[in-house]
Amino acid sequence: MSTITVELNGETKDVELNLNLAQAIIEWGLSAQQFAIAVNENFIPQVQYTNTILQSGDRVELLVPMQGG
Amino acid sequence: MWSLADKTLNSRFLIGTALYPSPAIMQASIKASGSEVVTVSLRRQNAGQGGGDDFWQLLKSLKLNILPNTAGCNSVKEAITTAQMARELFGTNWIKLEVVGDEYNLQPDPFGLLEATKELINQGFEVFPYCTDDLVLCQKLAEAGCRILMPWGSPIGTGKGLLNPYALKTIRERMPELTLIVDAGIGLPSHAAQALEMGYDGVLLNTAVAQANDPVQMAEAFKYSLMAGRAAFEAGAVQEKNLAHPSTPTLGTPFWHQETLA
Repeated sequence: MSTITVELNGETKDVELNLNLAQAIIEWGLSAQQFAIAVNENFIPQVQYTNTILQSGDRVELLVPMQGG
Repeated sequence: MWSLADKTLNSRFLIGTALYPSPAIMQASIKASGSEVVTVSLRRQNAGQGGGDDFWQLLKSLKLNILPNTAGCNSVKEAITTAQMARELFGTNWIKLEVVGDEYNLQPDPFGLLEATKELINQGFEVFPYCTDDLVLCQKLAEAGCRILMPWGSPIGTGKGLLNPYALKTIRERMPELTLIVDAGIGLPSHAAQALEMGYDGVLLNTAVAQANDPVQMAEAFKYSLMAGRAAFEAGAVQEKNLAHPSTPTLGTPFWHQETLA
């Protein structure tokens, strides 16, 4: 099984080739949370998670609600 | 009662959710404030930093209007992407738009702010721009489609109050149809009252309450000062004068004698 390297919130992660975002979220154990995602600084709507295949070097931002002023 | 975007609110207090000593104190402070609008942000999950699911559950339990921010965004692109993420995450098209121009005074980058505003208005957002007190910037933001402007009182977290009342008054007078909220730098309830006495529609603050010795009591103090400021504005205050005018009648002043002509 070949893997590629992506970044999740600034940390390097190895994922299977041709994994889509929905699958990656499950693999990373994050599916229970409330979050929003951007890949390479572009917003990815939830409906597109299964259509979005991770590429080598992709920068994934997975953001959660946080305190703010 | 007043209108903020498409909502009708009782309170003119918009309050932040950051920097409180604990979630319980945050919740109690927000309750004491009477506020109906809370600001939030989006961040990477960090163990021990708060936020995440616990915060999300607490937020939902407050049943208040949520105003997500783009705090920390240094570019137009970051701000736009963050706003889009916020819309999905929080289920609102409201966005407090911040495009940071300087890392020390955290002032808005007026040019980036205007560019991001135009794009987000195009995408159907209700943009609440955190802006400087520059009249021309405010006019251009309004032309871009903003119904609400949020000029600063002073830099975020400084507690310096309204550093340029002349500029804020100018914006109020020249843009009577806009909803105006002073955002940032408020330190004392008197600052908040001053903003509303000038005719500003509301005030947004966080540090002044969250970092007070007693945040809950301070939230209440701000609640009263906002009520006082608005009541004063509606009551029509006296104009400032340079010369003294006695309040006590001069007619019948005792011990007064007409000077005899020599």
